[in-house]
Order: sequence, then C-alpha cells, then structure tokens
Amino acid sequence: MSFRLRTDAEKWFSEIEGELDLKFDIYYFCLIAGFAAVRKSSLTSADKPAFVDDFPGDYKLQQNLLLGGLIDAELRDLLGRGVTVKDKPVVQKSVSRLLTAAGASTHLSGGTDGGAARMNEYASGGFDVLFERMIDKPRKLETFLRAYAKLIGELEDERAEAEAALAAV
Amino acid sequence: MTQVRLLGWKAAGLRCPDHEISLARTDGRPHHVSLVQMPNGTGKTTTLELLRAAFSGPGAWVDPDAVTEFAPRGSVGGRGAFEVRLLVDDRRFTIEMGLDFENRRAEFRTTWTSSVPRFQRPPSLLRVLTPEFAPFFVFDGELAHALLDPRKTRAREALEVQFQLSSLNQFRKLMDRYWDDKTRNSTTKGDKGLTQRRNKLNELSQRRDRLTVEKAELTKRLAVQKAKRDKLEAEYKAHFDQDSQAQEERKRLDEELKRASGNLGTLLANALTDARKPQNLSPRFTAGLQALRDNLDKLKLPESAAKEFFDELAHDTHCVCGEEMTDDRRGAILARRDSYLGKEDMGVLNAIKGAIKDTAGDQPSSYREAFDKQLARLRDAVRERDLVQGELDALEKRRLEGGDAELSAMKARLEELNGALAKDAARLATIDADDDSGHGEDTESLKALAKKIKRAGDLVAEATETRDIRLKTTILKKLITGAVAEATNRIAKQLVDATNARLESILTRSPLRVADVRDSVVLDGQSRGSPGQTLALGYAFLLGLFDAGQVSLPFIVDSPTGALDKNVRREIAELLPSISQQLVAFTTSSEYEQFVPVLDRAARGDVQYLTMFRLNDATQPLLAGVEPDAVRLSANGVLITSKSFFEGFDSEAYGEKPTTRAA
Amino acid sequence: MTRVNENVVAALKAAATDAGQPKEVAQRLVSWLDALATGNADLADVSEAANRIGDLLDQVKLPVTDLDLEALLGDEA
Repeated sequence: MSFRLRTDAEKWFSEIEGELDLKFDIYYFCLIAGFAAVRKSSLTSADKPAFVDDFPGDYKLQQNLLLGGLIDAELRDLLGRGVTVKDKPVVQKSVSRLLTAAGASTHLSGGTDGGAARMNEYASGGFDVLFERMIDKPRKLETFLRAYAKLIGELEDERAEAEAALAAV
Repeated sequence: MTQVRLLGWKAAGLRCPDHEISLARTDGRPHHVSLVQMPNGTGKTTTLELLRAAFSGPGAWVDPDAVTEFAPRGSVGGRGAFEVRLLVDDRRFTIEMGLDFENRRAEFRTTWTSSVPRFQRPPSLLRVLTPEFAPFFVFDGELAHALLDPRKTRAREALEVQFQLSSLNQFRKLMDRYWDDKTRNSTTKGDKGLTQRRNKLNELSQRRDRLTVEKAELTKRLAVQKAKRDKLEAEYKAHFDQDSQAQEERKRLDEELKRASGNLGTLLANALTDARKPQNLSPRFTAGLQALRDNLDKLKLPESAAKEFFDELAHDTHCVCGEEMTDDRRGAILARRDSYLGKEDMGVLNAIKGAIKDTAGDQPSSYREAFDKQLARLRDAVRERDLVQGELDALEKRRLEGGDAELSAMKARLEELNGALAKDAARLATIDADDDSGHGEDTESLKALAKKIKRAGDLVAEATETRDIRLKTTILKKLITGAVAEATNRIAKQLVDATNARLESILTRSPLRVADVRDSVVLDGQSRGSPGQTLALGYAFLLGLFDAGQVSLPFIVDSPTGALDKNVRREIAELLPSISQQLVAFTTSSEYEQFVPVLDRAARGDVQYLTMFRLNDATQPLLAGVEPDAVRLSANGVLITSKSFFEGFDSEAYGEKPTTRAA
Repeated sequence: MTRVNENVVAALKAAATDAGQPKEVAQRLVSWLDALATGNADLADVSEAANRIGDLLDQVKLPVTDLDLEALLGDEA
C-alpha cells in the first residue's frame, strides 16, 4: 500500500491540477496541512486505491524529511511535547512500526497500522483542514500558493497558542 | 537371437555354505536340466537371491542393509564373494560380486572382452541383466501363477521392461519435472494468468491507439484553430488600430503584459519548486524535525546493537550471563529484540537524521522567511500583470463602448476561440506528459503508456512461453500414452501368436490357446487347462517374451512344482524340458516323487543331479557310502554329484529349522 | 539399426502422425530409447534428460487454432 488521496480532495483541487505536473503535489499540500494542524482522519473504501507507489519527482529528495515529519507527528501524538530517556522503548517501537527497510521503496511499512496508512491519514486530515479554512476551492496556482502558505502559518500559530495555554495550566 | 547359458557359480563367505557348482557337461556345454537339491536352511533361497542380484547389477543394491543380510550368521564384518559364469553366444561372460559387510557395499567386476571393475554387460544383455528383468528368469513357481492371475499385472510389467515401455512412461514423468523446473520462477502458470495479461496488454494498446488518434486530431485542430485565432486576432487588432492612438497604446500594453506574464511564470515555477520542500512551508515542521533528531541522539538511536544481535544471543546454548539458556531466558531476550531495529532499519533512521541535518539544520524560521520573500515577489508579479491586464481591458472597453459592434463581435469570437484552444492545449499536454502524473495504470500519457505496454508485453511473453512448454509437454505426454497403448497391442498380438504356436508344439494332445497377454496371460474363452498346462502356459509366455527380445535365457527356478499335487507334477515334468533350452531347478526331496524320474525321461537323460548340504556331525556319516570322486568338500559344505545319492537323499531329515526369510 | 523393438518404433511413428506432429518427434523418442538400450543414456541424469526434452519440445508443433488448444487443455484437465 502506498499513497492514497481522498476522492473529494482530488475534486477540490481539480481546477489547478492542470498547473501541477505531479498529482502528488495535491497529496503533499494536504499532508503538510495535516502535520501543521496535527489532524488525522480515516479514508474509506469509497476513496480510490493508491495513485502512486513511491515519492515521485522532486519529492524523492524530500522523502527522508517527510518520513521524519511522520515520526515526529506520531511521537507527539503518543508522548506530548518532550521526549525523555525513559521513552526510548516507545520511540523504538514507533519507528519500527512506521518504517521498513526491506519493504516498499518509500520505506513506509504497509498494513493497517503501518507508516503508509498513517501518512495517508494525515493527508486526509489535512484536506479536512484546507476544506474548512479556505473560503473557496483553488482556481489558480499563483493565488493558491500564497493563500496556502498563509494558512500553514496560521495553523502553526494556533498550535503554538494551544500548547502555551496547555503549559500554563 | 543371443543365446545365454549358465555355466555355474561359486560362493564363499556368505550365508550359504561355500560351494562351487558347475553345470557343464564334459563337452563344456551345460546340461539341458540341472537339479540342485538342498535341504531347508542350507541357503537355497540365499543362493537364488545371489543369482538374481548378480544378474541385476548394482541397481539392486540401493539399500545398504540388504548387503548385511547375506553375511554368514553370527559373523561381524568381513567379505563375501559370489561369481557367476555364463556363456553368451559361445563366449564366456563372468560376473563377480563382492559384498563388503563392514562398509555395507556391493562391488562388481565383469569379464567379457576384458576384465573391468564395474557391471559392464555385453550390449545384447543390457535390457535383460537389470533389477527389473532378472526376476523373470530367476524365479520361483509362484511367478508362472502370478502371470496368469487376472488380479496381478506381472505380464504387463514383463512387457514394459522388455520392450522399454517403462522407459517411455518414465519420459512422461521427466517431462512433468522439466515443466516444473522451467516454470519454478515463473510468475504465472495457468492459462488464466495469460488471458489476464493479454487482456491487460490489449487494453493498454487500444488506449495507446485511441490516444495516438486523438493526439493527431488535437494537433491538427490546434494548428487550424491557432491559425484561425491568429487571423482573427490580427483582424481584431487591425480593426482596433483604426484608432491610431489606441493602436499605439495597445501595442505598448501588449508588450508589457507579455513581459509581466513571463516574469510571473518564472516566479511561480520557482515558488512551486520551493513549496515542495516542507521546511520552506512550516517552521514548526522544521523545528519538530530538529527536535526529533536531537531526541534520537539523546536516546542514542539507532542503537549500535541491532535486532539480529539478539537473535544470535537467544539461539546460543548459553546465556550471556554464563548460565544455561532456558526457554524463559530465551523468551526474555526475544521480547527485548522486538523493540530493537534491524540492521537495515537502522540505516533508514540514520538517513533520516542525516537529511534533517543537511537540508533542514538551520534556524527553523529561516527557510520560511526566505520562502515568504519569494511569495512576496510572486505577489508583486501577479499585481503587475493584473495592472497591465487591467489597463488593456480598460482600453478595450473604451473602444468597445465607442459603439463598435463589429469589434465587440470579434472580441467575443476571439475569446471563444481562445477558450477552445486552451482546452485542447491542456488535453494535448496530458497526452504528451513525460510520466503518468500519478495516474498509474490509468495514465493518458503516451510516453508512460509505452513503458507500461513494454512491461505488459514482457509479461505476456513470459506467460506465453510458460504456456507453450505446458502445451508441448502435454502433447508429447499424450503422444507417448498413445504410443505405449499401441505398442502394447502390437506386441501383445505377436506374443499371443508366438505363445500359441509354442503351446501347440508342447501340448500336442490338448493345446491351450491364449487370448491376451496385456495385463495378465488370459486364456482363450474355449480353453480350459489343467494346473500343469496352465503353468506351462506361463513358461511359454516368458519364452515368447525372451524371443521377442532376441535373447534365449535359461530358466532358473526355485521349487518348480511347489505345492502342486503329484499328478500335476508329472505333467509339468513332462513339459518343462521341451519349454526351455536350459533349466536349473532348486528342489527339495519332497518334490522328487512323480517329478524327477519323469523329468529325466523327458530330457532324455541329459539331467544333472546335484545335492548340497551343510557339513556337520549329523551329515558327516552320509559321506561314507558315496564314491569319492562324486564328493566336493568345502570348509562348511558338501556337494555330491551323484544321481543315486540324489535319489536316496531325504532333505527333510537333514534340514535345519525353516528360515523366516521370504522367497 | 536400432535396438528398439520394431513394434515400439511403429507405435511411436503412428502416434506422432495421429497427433499431427512431425516425424522428428518420433525419431527423437526412438533415439532416446536406443541410447538407453545401448547404455548411452541414463534416466537418472536429470540434465541430460532436460536437454533431450528441450530438443524434443523444439520439434513439437502447437495447434494453430484456439479451439484445438482448448480441446488439448480440456483433455488435460
């Protein structure tokens, strides 16, 4: 199993798809939004099967950072902000659950609990965020890029505020 | 026809008494009939088995335990030797078989043209001196019955061996094996796989053909439409430029727009490239990566020890603590192992850490700040273009508002044309794309399709080759099955005729007729033979079989009349000499009555009488009355070559307890 | 002169003809049997057998129509 995109996400991006030479761009925009908002949601059987098996084009160069981002997001989910020495077994277990050297060329493990499924969930959660927060579906890449970057910034600020509030309690 | 005669044999150091038997008359030719009388326990069965083994060659000795069964009782180690002398078309052929009881090995030496340390047979005997065929000329009384027994298929077995039909059947098995070997690594074996692959290839090829046609149409239409658009645009501009002030203004703005759009395009492409680097979008993401890397360092991950290390520990005989390895300890080690990474997984984690350091190691906000500057330039470029476009639109509007209906109509048509052109151009771009743009098998890129068609073609070729091998082996196997059946019918017919002809000359008073010999020897519906005749029939069939194989063999039979009653014995005794050219029969004294004297007459006196027994306190006195030149003594046995001794010998009286070994 | 019984030779030739196969198929089967009879081949030698079978398969003609193919495979099943 590799990268799956929600059917509604594909539709939402349809007007700028022609300006993007990789379908993975859409997945990536969703994924980074999911990471920034720390949002995951499940895909359903109504969504299409994997559209690509490996990080395509320029994204192959970003593979390790995106894998790192997934581990980071998952560890935060499990442990909260800090990681201490006693968390070592949790970290090891998470890493070996998410990654595989022997399997896919993405190094993401398969299965319902594997890294590929987890990453797809972040991309799906990220699309939910985009859909909620952007006023209209993207019409032109030149405007979308700026609006998207702005939204990521806002999401990060909100996270920082939420974490600060939590720390103050 | 190759004539094979048995001249004699010699045994030493084996389970039977040491002995040497010559079946030759003074003229060097063997007797027509040789009778070897041996009490039970003297090694009658052993001797017969040794003869069969010597005729079978090394192929009969696959089980090393079988060798030790021929060792003298109570002995350990040592060697035994058995030698058979044959006459093959008047030339001597010797088979020496050495049994090494210590190493449980049988060794052969044969002498034909020269002496060689292996089982080298005269070419004419290659098919006869085999483990499969030897039982058909070294046999017991049961064989003849078995040949006639409709529940058994001994006749078929004999036929298959003698006429290589068993080899043909073996070819079929080898073909199955060949297919298995050839297709072991094949990804598909069934016809279904081939059909699926063909369908896939067809589907892809059809799509390619459809897209190729579409591309040609698009290209053509684009050229025509573009020309139309350019013409219309020129006309529009010409019309527009009828106002000379507007003309100059439009020219300036057109150039401005071209420049601004070009600038925007470059900036947008750069921005998209940079947006694909997550560190440019999200400082928190970058900070998170750096924290992850620090934490991994803090936790000393990946470990220097890998999962594999614990596997080794767990499978040691002793625990690292020095204590013996127990299931509990092993369980504990293996449980810990699961929280460690394998060697290769450690490599992945190290690569991630390296990438964070190399490409996202600076101040987290610095990447986004640089990207924001780029986005600002993009924003400015968009504004600039929009501004120029706005001026152009305003100019146009002014001209159109001037009430020039024709110009308005031209403008509308131009826009419509441009819209259609953009749609066609986008479609053409999809078809001309370099990769599948993530659409996988559903791609509409001709280049990506070409690659997929090549791959699909390879898969079809592989499946086709696999299928062809299967079809061809199937054809061959069917052909062989048919040939075996046909050959069996032809051979059977010949054998039936030959057997009937022979029976006619043997059973002159009431000849039997054979109807079929394919599975077992089947009598003609009209015929009903006595038990003796029936036995003769079995022998006649075997002789026919030997004849068809162009070889005349001796019959070496254990207890030829077996448990038959006296009348039948008489009948067989009369028949046997006329059936075979050389008969060597192992008998006990219980078979004497109604058999030996009759046989002697039937063989016109060319009968050799041999009596063999173990030499011990009980048998010693027997030697007293025998003429000395009829006695051959060995270390543990005696052979008496006297007819009168043979007649008077009561083997039951000197037999040892019956052995349990099967005949 | 072959050591293979003339009935076996005739049966193989007839079977090849019946199966629409070239006479080379029967010839090769006969030479294999002949090699076995003269001690020049050994059925236990797997690679030698594979060579002979490979050579045999090259001589075998496949049916031209799909219908014939299906009949062949149907029989096998």
